[in-house]
Amino acid sequence: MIQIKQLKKVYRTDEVETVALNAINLMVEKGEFVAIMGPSGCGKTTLMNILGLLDEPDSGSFIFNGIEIAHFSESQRVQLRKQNIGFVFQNFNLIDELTVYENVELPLIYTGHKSSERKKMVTEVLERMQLMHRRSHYPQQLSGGQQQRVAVARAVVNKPALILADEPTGNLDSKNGNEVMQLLTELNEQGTTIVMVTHSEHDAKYSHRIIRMLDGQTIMENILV
Amino acid sequence: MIINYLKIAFRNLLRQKAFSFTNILGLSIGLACALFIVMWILDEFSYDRFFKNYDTIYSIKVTRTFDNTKNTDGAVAYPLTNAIAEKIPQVKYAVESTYPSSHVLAFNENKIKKTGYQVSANFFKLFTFPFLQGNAATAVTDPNSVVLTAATAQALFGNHSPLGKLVTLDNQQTYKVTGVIADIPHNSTLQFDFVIPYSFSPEDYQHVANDWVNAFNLGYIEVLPGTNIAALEKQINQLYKQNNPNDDAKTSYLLQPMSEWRLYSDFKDGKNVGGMIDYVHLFSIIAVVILLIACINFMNLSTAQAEKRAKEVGVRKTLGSDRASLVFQFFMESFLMVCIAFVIALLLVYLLLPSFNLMVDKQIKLPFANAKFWLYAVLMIVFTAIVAGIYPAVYLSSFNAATVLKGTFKASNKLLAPRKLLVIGQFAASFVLIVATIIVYQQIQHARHRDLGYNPNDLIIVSSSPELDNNYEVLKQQLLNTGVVDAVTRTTSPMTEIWNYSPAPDWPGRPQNNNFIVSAMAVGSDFAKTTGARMIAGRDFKEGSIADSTGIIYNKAAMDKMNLPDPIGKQVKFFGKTFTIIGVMDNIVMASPYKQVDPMIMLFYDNKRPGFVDIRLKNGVQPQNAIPKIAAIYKTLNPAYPFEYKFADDEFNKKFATEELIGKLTNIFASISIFICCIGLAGLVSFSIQKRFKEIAIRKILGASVWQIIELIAADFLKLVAIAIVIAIPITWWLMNGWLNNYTYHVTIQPMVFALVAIVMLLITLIIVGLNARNAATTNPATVIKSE
Repeated sequence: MIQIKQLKKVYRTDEVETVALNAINLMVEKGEFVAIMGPSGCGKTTLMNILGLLDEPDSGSFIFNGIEIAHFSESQRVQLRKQNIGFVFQNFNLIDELTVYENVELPLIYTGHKSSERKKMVTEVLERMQLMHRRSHYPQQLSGGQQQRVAVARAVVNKPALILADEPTGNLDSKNGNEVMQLLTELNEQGTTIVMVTHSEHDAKYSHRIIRMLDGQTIMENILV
Repeated sequence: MIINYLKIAFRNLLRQKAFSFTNILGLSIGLACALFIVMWILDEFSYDRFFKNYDTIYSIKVTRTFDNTKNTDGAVAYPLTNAIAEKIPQVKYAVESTYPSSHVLAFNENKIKKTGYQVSANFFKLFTFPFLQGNAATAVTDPNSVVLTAATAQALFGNHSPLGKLVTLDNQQTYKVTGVIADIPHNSTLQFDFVIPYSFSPEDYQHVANDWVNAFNLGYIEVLPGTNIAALEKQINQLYKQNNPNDDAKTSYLLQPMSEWRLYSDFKDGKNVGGMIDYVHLFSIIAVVILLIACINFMNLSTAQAEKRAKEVGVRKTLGSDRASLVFQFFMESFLMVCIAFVIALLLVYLLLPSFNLMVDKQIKLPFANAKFWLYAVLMIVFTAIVAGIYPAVYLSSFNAATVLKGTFKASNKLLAPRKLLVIGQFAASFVLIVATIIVYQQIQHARHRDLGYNPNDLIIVSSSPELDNNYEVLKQQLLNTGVVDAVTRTTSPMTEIWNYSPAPDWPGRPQNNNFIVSAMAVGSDFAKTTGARMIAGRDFKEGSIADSTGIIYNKAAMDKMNLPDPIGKQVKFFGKTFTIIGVMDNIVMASPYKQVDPMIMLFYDNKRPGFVDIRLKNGVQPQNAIPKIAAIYKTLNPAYPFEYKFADDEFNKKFATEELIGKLTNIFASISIFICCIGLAGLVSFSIQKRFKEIAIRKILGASVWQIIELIAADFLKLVAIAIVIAIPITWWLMNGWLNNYTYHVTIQPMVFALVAIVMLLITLIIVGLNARNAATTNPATVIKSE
């Protein structure tokens, strides 16, 4: 599904040049659950942003579902992203002004689903996440675990092929954290490819394969399954 | 999708109450101002449009040259329009009227003083005033007919039908009512209460119909569609030359279309130089400036909020929103805000309209049924929403999702530059308006407190009549006997107007090239005593002095032109008669208080034309006590006329009406603009403080005092306001100097005004910053650091 070759990304300020990704190579097969680990500043988040088409590489190749997309335009990336990728963030990133229901509905609006379809899909995913009773609440009225469940619901409502999770349990206690990991595992079992950045060895164990990064490069792979 | 945007917009609006309130308040006030100005301008442009043949009506203007100066006015000789109607086939109707004048209309015991014209027979064919009763085509064909407005008819006849009834004019001639027209709308250039046809005795007509020299009528024509106006003007000029080949005033006629009557009434050197249209332009600019100031608030506050909205932008982008739909979303928010502000603005306008009408002396109504008004309203909303909303929308939607969601997003400092520029623009505009207001005010005060050369206070002016003129000596004596009156004189025109101009009398030894025009007035005895005018040499006219009927008094301005040593006793020739100079009077300001006094002559009052009686009250006498006594005498000697009086100082003050209106309006708009600037500034300051809360706390921990912190924050804003002032000063100077140059008698702009306004503006800024910063500066820094 994802094939990255010699991908480079450099951040420049007036005085400093920081190499975030240094000719990195990475393959993710369809249906895989991959965890990316590494110390702060090793380039995990940059990699995630490029995988999520939020950022573009300076050089190298990025093939997504067989298509070279390294030099896609902004609008092409938007198209690809909204149909294929769901995001789960450490700090949930729900929109405070929208209710649980409306937050989950948002991706469907952008992909142009009809209102009746949206209602069906949102209800379905909220029921699956046991959030129906909370659908009219605003994010700040929910616990951290509940908020992350909403975020996961929002990430999967469009049935994306790929979910990118950036430290999804980072702001949660262990009980809520486990619940979220369970949820991701279930999604993976149902066929969704998952790439997750984490600092937690515990969480990483839910994955099939752990990629360890340092200084913008992959240094090691542990295959768990 | 749109519903989703509106939903978010509404919730944001409710959540950020202070932000929404500030924005909507500024926008509502800005829009209300703009609405008022639009309504005022629409009203100015609506003048005379109710006439059916608006597009084909022209007034005849005449330029005459005296003393190398071109004067343009509407006075045409009586035979002109008849000749035009007869000789020029493209002209459908050519009519004329006299200048408006006041007359007493009477029906039985009912007497009212009203203003009217004498008009030619086709008057109502050209001017399609709607007739409520009677026939427009024939209403003024009979010389003894009169047409009344509905209000005049109501005042004379109550609810009885006026048609066919006889009305007495000035206690002399009777006229039969042949028509009643609807009251003249306020937006008509022609304003009158009644009209009567011209009527002359056969011998008078013989004279008038062939008099191409004296001009005392106003002429109007209606042309056939498609007429070439330039060619027509040429024809009219030729026609005039054929009839008055010895014209020494180099008379030249031009035609002014009805659409220009109201707004382009001023002429200089024979060319149109605008008029009211200048103020239409001025206020259009002010409307746009105020709206822009409100829009700038909106932009600044919206972009200052960037960090709050950044997360939403990031999330929406990751969920697949493209830039365009984000721009659209933020634009919808602005649009919603502008719509709410517009509704509030309409409400404000509705509530304040009566006061506004009173101030601008109009009868404007909110034109809800007028499609054009709504078109302007929609344009205004769209304009405001675009100007206010596009920039924040483009800026907010530009955030990079990756950085925003990483949590490392800080609104870029790049944005500070445009935001600063906008603040500078706002304050510069306000500075211009405020200084302009002060200079307009100074100019009015300057002219108002000018030495008029006479004392207009406690000087009562009463219209005279033929009866009163015949009994003048008795009137004067009785008035003096009341004990409240100090002196009495009479004049052919009121003290605050000049009605007659003519070439200066010829004097012995006059150089060939010394021709000039004088204003002329006939005055009774005790003129200087009554009015308080100062005699520089010689004496005032004396009662009973037969010699005075050939006496002449010059003013100082005339003497300066004549250069005549020892003028008293010298003889001059005026219209074939010899006059002896009996006095030289200091200049008295009768015409524009902004202009130099013209050369003037005064002759002794003869009884041929009734004018005005001027009454000087004794020192310390209360006018309200004096008026009944004067009225009683007036009524016994002049029973046919209602007693009406005016105070010279009131009449003089009326000369400031336009400038005062302009002064008042700029004052209001300047106050509003600075107010909107201030609320915007307050918003920006509070955002800036929020952003720097942690910095402030750390500085306090390190020992900064409250004042040092206020200083720290104020410095940024004071700098901006100072730059604005520096930019605004030359602009203001240039604009106001241009305006003042319209007046010969004007103030010079004093640097002190700039300095004062600058100081006040900087102080206001400091106060706004101080009030906002106090809270931050006095918060316990420990709590701030902990919560970070």
